Amino acid sequence: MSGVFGIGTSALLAYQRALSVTGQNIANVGNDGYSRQRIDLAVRNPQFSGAGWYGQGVDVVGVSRIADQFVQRQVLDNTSGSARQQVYYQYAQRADNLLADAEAGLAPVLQQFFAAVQDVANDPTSTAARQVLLSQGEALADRFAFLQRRLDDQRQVVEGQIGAAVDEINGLAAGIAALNQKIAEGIGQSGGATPNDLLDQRDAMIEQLSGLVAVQTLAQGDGTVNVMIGNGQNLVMSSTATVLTAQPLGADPSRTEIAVVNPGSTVGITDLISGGELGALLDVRRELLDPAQSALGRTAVGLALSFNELHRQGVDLDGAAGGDFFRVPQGEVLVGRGNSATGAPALTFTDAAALTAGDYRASFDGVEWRLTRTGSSTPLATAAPGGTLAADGFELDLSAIAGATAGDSFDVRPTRTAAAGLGVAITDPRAFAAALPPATPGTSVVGDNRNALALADLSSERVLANGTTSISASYTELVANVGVRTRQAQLSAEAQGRMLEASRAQRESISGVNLDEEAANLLRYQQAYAAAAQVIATAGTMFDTLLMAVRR
Amino acid sequence: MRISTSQIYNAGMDSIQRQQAELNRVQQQLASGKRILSPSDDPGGAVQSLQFRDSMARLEQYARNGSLAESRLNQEENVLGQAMDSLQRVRELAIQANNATQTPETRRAIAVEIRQQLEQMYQLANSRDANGEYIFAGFASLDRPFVATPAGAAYNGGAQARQVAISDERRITLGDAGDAVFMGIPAGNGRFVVIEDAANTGTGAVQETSVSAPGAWDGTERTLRFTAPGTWEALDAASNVVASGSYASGSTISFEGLSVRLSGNPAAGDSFSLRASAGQDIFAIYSELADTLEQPIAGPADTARQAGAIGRALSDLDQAAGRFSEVRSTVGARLAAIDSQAEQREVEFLELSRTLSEIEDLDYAEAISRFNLRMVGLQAAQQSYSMFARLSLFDFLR
Repeated sequence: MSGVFGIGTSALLAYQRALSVTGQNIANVGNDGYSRQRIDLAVRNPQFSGAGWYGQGVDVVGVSRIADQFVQRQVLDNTSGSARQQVYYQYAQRADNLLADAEAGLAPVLQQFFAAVQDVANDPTSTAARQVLLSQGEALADRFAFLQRRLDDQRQVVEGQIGAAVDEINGLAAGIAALNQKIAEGIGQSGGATPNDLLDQRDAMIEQLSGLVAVQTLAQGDGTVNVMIGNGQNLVMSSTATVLTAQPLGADPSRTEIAVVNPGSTVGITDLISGGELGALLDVRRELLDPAQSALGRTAVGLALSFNELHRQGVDLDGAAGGDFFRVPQGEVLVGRGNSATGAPALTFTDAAALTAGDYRASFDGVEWRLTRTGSSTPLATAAPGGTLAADGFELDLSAIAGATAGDSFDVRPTRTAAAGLGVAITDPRAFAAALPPATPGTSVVGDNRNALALADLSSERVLANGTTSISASYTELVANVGVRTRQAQLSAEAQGRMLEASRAQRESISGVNLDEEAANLLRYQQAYAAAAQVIATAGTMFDTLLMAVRR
Repeated sequence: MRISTSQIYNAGMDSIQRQQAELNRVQQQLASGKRILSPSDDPGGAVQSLQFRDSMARLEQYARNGSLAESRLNQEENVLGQAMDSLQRVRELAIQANNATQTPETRRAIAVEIRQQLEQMYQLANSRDANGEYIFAGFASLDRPFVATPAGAAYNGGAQARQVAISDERRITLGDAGDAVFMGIPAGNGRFVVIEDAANTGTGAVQETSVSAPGAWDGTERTLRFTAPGTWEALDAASNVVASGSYASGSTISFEGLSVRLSGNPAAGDSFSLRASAGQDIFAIYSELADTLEQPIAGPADTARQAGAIGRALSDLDQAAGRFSEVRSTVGARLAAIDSQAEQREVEFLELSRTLSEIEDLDYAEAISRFNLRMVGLQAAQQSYSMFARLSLFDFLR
């Protein structure tokens, strides 16, 4: 009789638990990170009694979390892939809209400028036409500066976002480490039962982290998970999180790099990071903004150099030799961190055709200075201290550098900021050299437009990239490059988005709560509970019957 | 496959949102009439449209250059036409003055009119365009090109005229340098001139000159001298006799490929010098003709000299007319080139704008049918979602 009581009670308790698990599932139907739980029931060990083995009721052996690590892995991969493409697309689209805009881009002002040159060629004696040309020159310089500034604005946003993303990564890493600890403790306390809801929380955090940067996870025996970013850089090890910093590390004080700070050393890991929002931001900076600004700067410098060269061959309205029409922008030279040398090399542009949109580094090995292109170790030029390094259409005069020791370096970016520095050098409209020097010196040249015609032809002349591209075509090339990258990012963002949706759907189909299913369970467990109560009632009646028989 | 409840919601919302995004896109395309809403929609097309716009802007600039060149050249043609009218008038006056019925007074009156024509010729040669630039001054377009000096006309302009571009390849010269139009006009028949000696006493006057065998003459000066009224000899610069013969009034004397027809009767000792023709300017032709007509006539020899001078002036005027019409025809050719470039440009412009429109503009019929399709899709997604989401087993648990 006590057996019947025991069985009834065990069932009552088991279905109470089962109903509470079902209730928990229903309660979390709207919670995205929640994995449905299932109660695991087992038959109690039977007891032998005379004729045979009698069942002892039912036991709850655990509450399991329905989740698939493989599917979760796919969700993580697709989350970081999708975030990378989405964020990249957002920034690329802004740059693309800016550069290719029929009104705000460079193309219309470039056309107007050369149209103004043509107008002076048509009417070289008109100071009004000359004045218009100077104004159009200013407008062109302004537009270059405007585009540079807009790209700079985007760069600043990117730099800020890099810092914010790193902060977020640190916060999540700390959270994951704390959860790791709680989970390990929970498992220890319960003798092996996993705290399912903490596991859900940790998975959600890791998923959030994968939106920021691509991660790899490695489950440990004690229930903790190690998280790695980049090429195996540990971010979370059991219950400790590595702290990342966002700070300038190179010669450029405005360029945020990502580093791991260990006691005694700071290791830059910028180049190792990929995927997620952070990967996208770094890619935008490296693949989009750097080349776009350098290419824009090269167009500006190329225009200034080639226009000036022709302009100097001419003579102005008063027969005086032409000077520079454009103020040639300054190339950027950055002093390497920890240089012992004082002073900096002076950069002069020499040849528009040889100019590239690349970055360079001048480094001292103790004997001589070497000029290398960024990403290559082959020296383009070498020079003794105090000499001149010349390559790719520019020269570096090293004479101002003193006290250099081996390892000193300068980062040279000839065209990166050049678009902002273009200006019109002449202010007097009469000083525009529309004429060529007359055959007989001293003769009037007011009606001579030969140089103006030559300058007007410059718009379509292939003066850049070793004579393969023209001023306007070099800009079109830039627009095409950014456009293609943007298009790629857009298509990949759509594709990655679909893949993320698919992997999430797969996870949902495994781990998600279905209300109809829970309703059925509710009905089932409720009926089982009612039946168990009936068993106890029957046992009670049996007991009463026996008592009544004894009382007589 | 097992479906979770949130999947039903998510999938429903996802498909509704996708349809909405597509619908919104088509709506924007319809509203703007553009196929490409953002350059990344079609980077190739965006770049092409940049290049096409560039080409179209260049064509527009060439059209501007062309119409400017056209107005300048029309003006030049007009001026040259007036100059030819003046030449014609002076030619008539010269023929009139050569008439034997003229008296010194009437000749002086003719000279006065010729001097007026000279003034007008200066004005024509110093014509200015709408910008105030002298059209025959070449590069020195703000300097008055032709100035009358006691020694004759002086040219202050440049030697080259400026050009404008009317296409990528074609440049058109605007105007002509004045010295090539009004100056350097070959004298006489273009090869040589015959000038009677000032001391001649006979009535011999030059009627016509020609070259029968080019190249036979070495170009140095020859003197045609009459040793007797019917006998002539030709001497070279070193006074060697190179040819000789007899002459009757009105006959043609020929030697070394040069032919000179004289009228009247030269006296013994009269001589004529034959020189290679030099370039002279139209102003000198006019003023020398006027000078000639103002000379006093004291006898038949003077009459013969005047007739010779008028004859020379007439052939000079013919040379000038040849020069002007030559220049005028090059102006015409330039105007024709501008016209043909303009036609070509219009065809090209049309072609470019059509291609540009194909790249950028929306196919409305296609877009409207896409709009309808998306709308049906959105309605279907909304309806099916609301019907599906309403189903729940809990509704039956009572």
